[in-house]
Amino acid sequence: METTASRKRFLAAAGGSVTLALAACGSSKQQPTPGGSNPNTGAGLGTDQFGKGDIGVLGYALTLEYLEADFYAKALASGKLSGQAAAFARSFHADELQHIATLEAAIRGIGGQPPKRPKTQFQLTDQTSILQVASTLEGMGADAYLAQVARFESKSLLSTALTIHTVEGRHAAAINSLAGADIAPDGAFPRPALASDVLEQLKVFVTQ
Amino acid sequence: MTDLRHVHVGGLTRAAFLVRGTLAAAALYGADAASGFVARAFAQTAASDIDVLNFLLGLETVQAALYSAALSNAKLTGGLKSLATELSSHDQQHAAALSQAITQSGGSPAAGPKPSFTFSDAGGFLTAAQSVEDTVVSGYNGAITTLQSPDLVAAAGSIAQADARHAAAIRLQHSQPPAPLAFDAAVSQQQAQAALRSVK
Repeated sequence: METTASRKRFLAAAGGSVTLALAACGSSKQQPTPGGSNPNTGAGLGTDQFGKGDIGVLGYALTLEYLEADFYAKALASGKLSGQAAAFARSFHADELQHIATLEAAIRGIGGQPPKRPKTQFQLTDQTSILQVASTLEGMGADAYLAQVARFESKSLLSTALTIHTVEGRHAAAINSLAGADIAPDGAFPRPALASDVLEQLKVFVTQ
Repeated sequence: MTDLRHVHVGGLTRAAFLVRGTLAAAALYGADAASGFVARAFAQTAASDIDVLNFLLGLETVQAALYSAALSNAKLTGGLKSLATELSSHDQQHAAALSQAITQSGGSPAAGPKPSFTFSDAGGFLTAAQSVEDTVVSGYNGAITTLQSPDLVAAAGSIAQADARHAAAIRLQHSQPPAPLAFDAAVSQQQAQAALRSVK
């Protein structure tokens, strides 16, 4: 099985290269989706199913937050966490709930409806496996936000997303530190994760 | 309603999509697609964004001075010394990328602040580092919204995330909560600079 870090690098390398594919072949076969895609990251691919423009980006971000919040709730309920792992899970769960409330209000504020909450399933065998899932979700979450920040039409929504993005980065580093992994697996420059890749990766945690 | 299990990527199968993207990245940038992403974005710098990049460069200058002082004066050992070395390297890479972007777009990298840190042990270093890293994160979050170019938003966002990871790691070493707030602050250039001047 691949490590989280290598898997992440692989996905990020592929995700970061959509424009490169365009640049390399000089064609426009893979058009960015409507709603404002950043040509640098190909970030638009995958979010339009949640709505157009800012509504789609927010709906996508909210879906990630639903998954993270569900994960921490189930991890805490499992009784398998103790010490700092339990403390992190409680604290980060509370953060994700605040992100959810803010994103739901933001979507309604621009005339959209929050997406359906996914039904989730996680490997909660022991503290080690829980930390592994946490590392995947938080690392992917941070890089997913990073891929979207350039797409906001609203400066105010951009600001909100940025202040969530760095908190997800903090969560990812803290979980990795506890799990004995690198706090910055991408080094000095974290890589954006394409929405379509993130959603594909998350299928393993979604039952319907 | 959206079903996460049925997401398609622009008419390509996922495998074809990944292979095509990976090959193209390798062809253009060799193995190092990450710095390629940031370098490519920074190469698009518009003149109107140079001032903001100079502010961000100033933040990195303070961090570079912090870790330089830590490695010289704070008598660090073991894991903390390794961490300071890693973060120092990251911040030097950030400063180099910002500096290059400013020069390439016809600007001049500003000399920036010259902080002098007075700590002489690990505890003093961690107190200073926590203030610096938290302030830098909120400085990036404020400044990014003032950038004109979407490409720069993504590149500066990447550095902001790296610095947020640094802040969390420093806080853990300092026995402090790694993410004390559900939303990080976003502050003005003046607020960030004033906060950094007060760190010793």
